[in-house]
Amino acid sequence: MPNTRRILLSLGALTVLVVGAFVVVTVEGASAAVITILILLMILIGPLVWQRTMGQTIAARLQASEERLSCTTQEGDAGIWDWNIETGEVNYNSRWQTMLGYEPGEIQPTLDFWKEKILHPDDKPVVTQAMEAHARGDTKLYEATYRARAKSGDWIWILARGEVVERAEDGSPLRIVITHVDVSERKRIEEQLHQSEERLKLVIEATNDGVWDHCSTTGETYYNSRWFTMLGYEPGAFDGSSGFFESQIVHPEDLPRFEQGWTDHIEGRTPHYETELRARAKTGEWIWILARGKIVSRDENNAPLRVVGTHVDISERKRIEEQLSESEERLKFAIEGSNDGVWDCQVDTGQTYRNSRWYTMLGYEPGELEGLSWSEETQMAHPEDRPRFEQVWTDHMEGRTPSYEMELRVRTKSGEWLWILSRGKIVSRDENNAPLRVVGTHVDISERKRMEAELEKARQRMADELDVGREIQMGMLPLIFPAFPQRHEFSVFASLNPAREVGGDFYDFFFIDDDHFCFCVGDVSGKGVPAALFMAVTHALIESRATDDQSPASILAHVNGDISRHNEASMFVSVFLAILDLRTGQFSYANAGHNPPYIKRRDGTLDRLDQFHGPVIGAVEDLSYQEGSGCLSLGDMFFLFTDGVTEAMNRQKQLYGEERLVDLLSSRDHKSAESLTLAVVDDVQDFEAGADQADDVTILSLQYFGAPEYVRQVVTLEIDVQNRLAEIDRVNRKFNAFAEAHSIPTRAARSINLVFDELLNNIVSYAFEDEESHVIRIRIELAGHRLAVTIRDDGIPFNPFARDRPDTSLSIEEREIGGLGVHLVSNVMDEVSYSRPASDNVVTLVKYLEPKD
Amino acid sequence: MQITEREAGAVTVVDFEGHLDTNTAIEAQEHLDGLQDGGVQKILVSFEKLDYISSAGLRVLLVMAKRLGASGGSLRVCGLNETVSEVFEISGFNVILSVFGNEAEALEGF
Repeated sequence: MPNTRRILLSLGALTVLVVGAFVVVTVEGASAAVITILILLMILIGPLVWQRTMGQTIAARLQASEERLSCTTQEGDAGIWDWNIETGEVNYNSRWQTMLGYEPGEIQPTLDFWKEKILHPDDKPVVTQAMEAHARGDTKLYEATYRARAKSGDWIWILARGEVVERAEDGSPLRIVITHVDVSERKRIEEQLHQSEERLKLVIEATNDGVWDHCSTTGETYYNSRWFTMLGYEPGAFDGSSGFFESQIVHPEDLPRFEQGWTDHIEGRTPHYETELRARAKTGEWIWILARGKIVSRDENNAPLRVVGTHVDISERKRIEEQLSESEERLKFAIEGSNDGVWDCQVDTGQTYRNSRWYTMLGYEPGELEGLSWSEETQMAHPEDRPRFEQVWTDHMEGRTPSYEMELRVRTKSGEWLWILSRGKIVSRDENNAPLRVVGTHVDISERKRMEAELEKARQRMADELDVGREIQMGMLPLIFPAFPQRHEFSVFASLNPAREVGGDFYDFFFIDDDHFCFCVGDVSGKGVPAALFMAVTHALIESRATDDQSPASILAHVNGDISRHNEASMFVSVFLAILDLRTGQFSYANAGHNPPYIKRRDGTLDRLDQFHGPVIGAVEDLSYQEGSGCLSLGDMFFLFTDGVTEAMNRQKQLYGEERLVDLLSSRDHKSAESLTLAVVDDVQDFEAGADQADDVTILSLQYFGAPEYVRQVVTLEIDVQNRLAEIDRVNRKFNAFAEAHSIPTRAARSINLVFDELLNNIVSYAFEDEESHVIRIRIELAGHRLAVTIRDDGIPFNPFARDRPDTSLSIEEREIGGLGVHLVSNVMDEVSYSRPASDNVVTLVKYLEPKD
Repeated sequence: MQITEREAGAVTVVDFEGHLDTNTAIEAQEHLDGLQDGGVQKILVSFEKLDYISSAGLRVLLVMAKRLGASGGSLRVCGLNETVSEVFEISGFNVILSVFGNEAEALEGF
């Protein structure tokens, strides 16, 4: 309370007392007394009352101010300052000091002190301005944030708020109350927030998406640069909130959807907003954009406060989607355009889509069988095909095959059977891997089936033709052996194993005259019927020419001339031809492009006749050929063959080869032309070991027996016996005498004894079903070193050599004795054969004796 | 055909002379059977003088070998000439039966 007022009040009280006292003294009466007392009271109390009222008003105002201030103060304890502008006196609370780190009472706050020592120089202008503004009455409240130096020397952020609480009549401030709050912490947090925002900004700038951020309170929207550059504009080229986006950027067709989407979100119907729309770039192109947005905070009326959103450039994705849809369209087209029935089955619902061709293929109208279930469809399959069809289908359903495919007959509407190829594949499965969707096609293969049947017939015809070719080939060959049993100067044996397809090999031998024997082998180029025919022609020409011509060179030259004249197909044939003078063993030969033959001499040496005398026959007209000559001695063997031997292949694609042939020819002691030939044939087959024979294997062997005097001598013995066992001894005795007379080697003779024992026993024991007596005719013929035995009976047909050979590798325990006897005979003799002329059994056996020098 | 026998230690040596064929096989069989019945366990068949043998003869040998083997004895053969050797080779009997070149070899270790 101001001092002057107190003095006045005191004076006033004093005055009242004096006056009062005077009145009491001078005026009588009670009323006077009452009036006096009242006046006294008024005088005494009035100022007090007035004072209190004034004070109350001020206090009230002060309190109101304080309340107001404390309302807006949110942090802890405020330091409070009460500044009397007139006197400059400042009242403060301890908090103001402790806030700055001082002990209460440590500093004397005066305005100057505060200005010089506390306030941060950089903040002075701000504070001063705020203060002056408020002092003038421009602002209701004084507020400033500044840095204050603490005792420690650190700067503390202070938020100062204050109000002038007393003004003079002219409005100048008399007293001001200011609160101070330590907002360092808040400032720090603000700084962090600012940094975060900076960081966020960086991220937003770096992202490939356009980002925008709208704040309703400020009414401002933030766009990152990408938002603009995505559309080909410079950042900030236009105001995004101006409606430019909607009117100039968004595609008119997409705009309604865009705006509806927003409305839905703003009104809370959707949790966020998302639309794909076309946006016009600056260049005028349309870019597909995925626009997304979300209201992130609303006010108390649920109106959006802050909204954020992104733009993603989905042009690429859209492009791919379009391509895909184009593909699907194309596929649909193709499906409809193709000639195949297409079906698409949803396994869980059983619903199947079938294209029109599916129906028309089977003679139905498109859609006529709508609702046909899978099992009903299976019923349309031919009963013979159905089980396999179901099996194939199940195999695929259960995952054992990657797709299913099957040819089957299906019943058409008219009841006929149509061959179709049904193919299908599971294209999607559910989470348990069970089939969800299967698609497939039907292809009408009735035409193909018909052609297959035709093809089969044609193939059959061709196979028949191949047989014809084979018949042509084999029909011309001399196949009967022994070929000339009555000629003892030589023996000849040949073998031709044709390849699967007729290969065009041939051999031939014939007498030119009584003393000259011609033999040859040949190999026609090519295969099949043409080769066989060519071979037939060559063969005929050779035989025809050789009747008058004894020179191999001349024969070949003429044959070549004839063939090459009519050779449009340009085939040709290699030929080796020789003519042997049986009286002397001399031979002449010509080789027209054929692989050279060998001569195995009796002493074991192997000669190769490797002279060529001209090219293959048929290639060039008007050729002349050379010829060579040689000589065969007793026992020498001529070995002719075609390249089917040396070029035989096994499964490893290795060739038999000349070496192997030479080894075989040199190594063994071959007793006869037949055994030599068969030895090579067997060896080639062993080598092939089951591989397909590629070419004809042709071999001709000829063995020469020598000097005419020796050869011409033929002695025979004939024995007729009864069918009794005891007769066997008689046969042997007679034979032994014969053998001794003609110096047949003992070993050979013993072999013949064995033969008689085995064979005659068989005949006597088994050939006759009656108890009659029968005659067995035995003939023994010795010609040079060829010993031939013939046994003839008239018993039941029986070929002892037709039985299987016993397995001589079995042990005692496993052996069967039966058949052993015949086996011995076959091996002990060099040649065995059987024939049945006119209801007789004739067994012929030949043994070649060691030649005597 | 003539069949004779002699002792050589624990072994009975049986000589065959002539030819062992269908006719003489029965005789040979009976003879050898008789020996076995008489308790002979080790028989050496000598073919030194045998001219030839046919399958009937082979049969006899096979049967004999089996029988002796079953009762714990054994059969050996020796003295084959060229012809008989050849027959043994062809038939594979040279592997089935114990064949020796001469008597001395055959008796060794018998």
